[in-house]
Amino acid sequence: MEYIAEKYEAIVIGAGHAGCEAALALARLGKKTMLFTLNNDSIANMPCNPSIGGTAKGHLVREIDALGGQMGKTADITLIQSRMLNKAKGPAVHSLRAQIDRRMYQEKMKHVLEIQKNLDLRQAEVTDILFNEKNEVIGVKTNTNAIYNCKVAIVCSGTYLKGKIIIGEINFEGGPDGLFPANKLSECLKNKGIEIMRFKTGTPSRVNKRSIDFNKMEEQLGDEPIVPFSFETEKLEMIQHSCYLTYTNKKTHDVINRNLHRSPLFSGDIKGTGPRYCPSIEDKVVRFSDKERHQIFIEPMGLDTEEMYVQGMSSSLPEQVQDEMLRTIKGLENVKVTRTAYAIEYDCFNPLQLQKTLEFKEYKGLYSAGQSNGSSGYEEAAAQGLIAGINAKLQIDQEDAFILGRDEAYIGVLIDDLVTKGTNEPYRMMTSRSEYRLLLRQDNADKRLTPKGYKIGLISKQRYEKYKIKEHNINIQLKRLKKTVISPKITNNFLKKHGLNPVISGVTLDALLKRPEITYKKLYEIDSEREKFDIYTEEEIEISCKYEGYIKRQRKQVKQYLKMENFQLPNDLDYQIISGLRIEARQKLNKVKPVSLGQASRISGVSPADINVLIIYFDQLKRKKT
Amino acid sequence: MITDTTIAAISTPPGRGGIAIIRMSGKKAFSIAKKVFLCKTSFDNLSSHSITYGKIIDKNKNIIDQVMLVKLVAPKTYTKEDMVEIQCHGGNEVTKKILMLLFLHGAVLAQPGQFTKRAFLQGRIDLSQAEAVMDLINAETSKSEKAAILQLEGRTGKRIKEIRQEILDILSHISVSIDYPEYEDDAISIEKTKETTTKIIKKLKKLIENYETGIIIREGLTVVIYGPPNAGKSTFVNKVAGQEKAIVTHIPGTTRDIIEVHLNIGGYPVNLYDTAGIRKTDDLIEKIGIEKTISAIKNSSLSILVIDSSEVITPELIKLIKKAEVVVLNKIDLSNGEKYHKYLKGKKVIRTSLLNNKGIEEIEQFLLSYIETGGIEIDDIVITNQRHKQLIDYALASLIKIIKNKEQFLDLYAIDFNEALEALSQITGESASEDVIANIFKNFCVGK
Repeated sequence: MEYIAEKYEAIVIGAGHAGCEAALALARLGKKTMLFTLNNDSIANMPCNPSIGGTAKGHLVREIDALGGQMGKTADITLIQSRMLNKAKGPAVHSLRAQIDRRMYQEKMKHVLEIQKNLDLRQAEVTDILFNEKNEVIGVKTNTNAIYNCKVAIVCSGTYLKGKIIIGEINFEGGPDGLFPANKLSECLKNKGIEIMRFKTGTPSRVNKRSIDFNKMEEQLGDEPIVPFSFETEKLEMIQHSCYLTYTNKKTHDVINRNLHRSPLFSGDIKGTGPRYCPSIEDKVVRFSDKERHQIFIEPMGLDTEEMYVQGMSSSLPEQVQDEMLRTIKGLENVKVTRTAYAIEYDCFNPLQLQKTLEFKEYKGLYSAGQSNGSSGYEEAAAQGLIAGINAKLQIDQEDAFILGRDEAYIGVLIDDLVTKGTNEPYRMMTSRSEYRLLLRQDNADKRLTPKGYKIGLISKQRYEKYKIKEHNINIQLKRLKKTVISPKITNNFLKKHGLNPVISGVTLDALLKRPEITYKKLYEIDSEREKFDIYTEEEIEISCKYEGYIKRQRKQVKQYLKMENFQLPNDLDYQIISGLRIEARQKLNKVKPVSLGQASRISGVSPADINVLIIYFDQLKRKKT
Repeated sequence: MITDTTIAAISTPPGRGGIAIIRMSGKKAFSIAKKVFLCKTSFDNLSSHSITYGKIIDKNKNIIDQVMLVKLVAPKTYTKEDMVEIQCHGGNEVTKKILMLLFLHGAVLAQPGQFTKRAFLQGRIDLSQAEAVMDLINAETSKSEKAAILQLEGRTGKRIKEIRQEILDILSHISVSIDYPEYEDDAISIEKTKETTTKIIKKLKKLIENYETGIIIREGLTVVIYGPPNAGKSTFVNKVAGQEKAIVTHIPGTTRDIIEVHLNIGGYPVNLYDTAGIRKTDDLIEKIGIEKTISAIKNSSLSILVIDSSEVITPELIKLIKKAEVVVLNKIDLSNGEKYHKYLKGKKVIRTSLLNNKGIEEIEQFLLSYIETGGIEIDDIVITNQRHKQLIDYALASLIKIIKNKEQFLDLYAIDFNEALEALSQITGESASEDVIANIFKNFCVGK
């Protein structure tokens, strides 16, 4: 029999990376929040790579941190190897990536949740979401027949909804990592009229470290010193643990080719759309048949386990074939598999149904964040969780929504892409998706977002003050560099020492630093009186000065972009009635209901001519009113 | 969109006309006009809404044309902005040259309906007309898009697409190096990037080299009609020309003259040459005539073989057919020409009965599509669309920046590649950012 259990302001369904951020943001902002999870022992689980960050994803983690989210902090205390990728490719694409002790991460995150004021955590499956007659969320129902009332509900269901595991010819209902699926929730939302999509992803095998011959592999060490994810983490020192690199070979490919007919991907048993950026090994071998080898990375799962993750061997071939192909690989000849690779199919929502706040347009108070919106990755999920949590809070308090632009954060790009363009495969963040990446660097995430996080209430006064001092120092130094002229004599000695052509007249430090060959560190030789700062402040001074030209160019582009973004469109307009629009444009505009002309222009199927029609239409409306 | 650009366009229909009008509207209209217009009084002193005689000069002070210019001071103008109207001599070369000059000084090409749109946005047109304007924008756009697509389907478009793909490939390569740093197999060096860019620049430059002279536009398409005697060549010329009110000129020389006919097909100038019949002969004068025909074919943009479907097939005729690309199979009222079929495979064949006016429309349509799809046999591919030219210039500017760039980080090159790709994508109507990502997954084996 149903019973009314308790009343909350907010309920978060699912305690993965999205759910944790959403629940923490709500509770920290003073909202009485309940977080439901299918299993308390799988909170903040990493069912795939035991790592956080990477290109573009590292940016997301920094942005989450700059806004006051949790992921970066927990990653800092649980990482076992850290690297700064792309150091040789340009300041905008430096990306942090860390190997994480998966179990420790889960435990630490669970504990953060447990000690959080205003937040309750409970193991239960939410089977239904309850609405009033105006399609507003009023509560949720669990599998134990308990009804919890609430004002907002955030679905963070990851890959659990109607999850189906596929290993070769075998398939069964199941969530990731051997957990139960959630079979009822998507059905109830589908009946409510929400559009469901079926996506697919997968994960490789785990193997026992004892059975690997590391002598046949290349060791990959971490970077020193460790750059933390969180702007609050001062310093990280530890013994780092290595990853190992090996390769597939002709024998591996032979095994795969011989058994292709047994792959559900090729036989058509898998119907969900898989991600292009995360192909299974059989997919790689078939599509890139001219490649003689593929990289395989062996990554530690944690300190208190011998399990290792085999990156590059994601597969849905039968178990027997998997074991056989693993043993063809150098160093894995005698490997003992601890967990079989599998593909997973799951239900998610078409993100075109969402607003930029991640609330469903048609269902007030219902939000969705993470893989349930068709994205992929822990970081993408956490970022959405944070934004959904913040906006749910703002909605309860009837305050203005919090939306990040494409010019402000990768998070802004991520959400705008999802809700404007939709996606037909799990969406992964990439640096190439961002138009203004010289502005959206990982080093300046605090500059871009910490004032906003402070305004929202997720950044402490103390941290904000610290940030302001950093900004102040950077600005003073940038001005000083521009003003300080060095005599030709000193300059030429300096240039000569570094093998560069001399100058005739005096130059500013700023001009010297702008030369590709000169670094801020080298500049110290002729600027030894300067004030000393921490490495992060100095890094930002260097980048801001060196790439001023590029930064200015991108700012100019942003100006153009903002003109379009600031042209707001009403959300209650029926585009069918605007006769000048092409039919396809009318349909697409009605589906997305863009908030601005800029967003409208990014919808596929809306042409520049349609945008012109919209400009005229709204001008006409305006004139009618006056 | 919401910009403060100064726009310019040719307002009169394309093709040859006595006078053409170029309109320019926007904040910089006067300052641009001042730079290209030379008249007795200074431009600033010209009174509004009156017409002034003067000369259009280029950067090197060469006179391009003698024109009449109307200065229209805002707000009493069509767009309520400062406007300039230039009445110049018709003929595409001069008109386009003047327009290019305006672009050179900062004007941009007006999009379809843009003058009217501005007029509306400035409150010039009343509300009842607004909907008509909205309809017009999409209608005009589809028309001009159609014209642009026609050109794109031809060799020009193919070449632009090839070049765009090359830029896309570099950019995808850079993106792969950045987004998948662990895949060292796919890394690309800055030197290699610059090398490829230099090649791309050369190709783009070649593409627009001939823009200003626009060979087809200037000289027209040269079409030689040849074939055995009595096949219907003269009838071909007379019928096609007769429809188009042609001017017939005589080229004096031998008794076997070449007749040259100038006509206008769909706004494009076409020069038709009627030649002497080709056959084996000992007659010296006739031989000279045939030699002339052969040399005319060599110098033509297009040659059309006219044959009589009812005639017996001779070895000479087979030789002619084998070499021909386009064949008019005439007199189909007399014979179905079946015996020719095996020789005509793979060739463009138009079946006609010219005396009975059958097939003339098909010939005209063929000529028009031949012009518009750019299937013209000239040494270089020519860009004739101003918008395309402007976008290619823009792409070139970005690519040249790359060559000059001394930065040591790959990512800093991506900005300019992106700009170049964006420009060319606007020509081909494709999406730049989506294509980069699609290209990565298509061409690189990345991912875990």
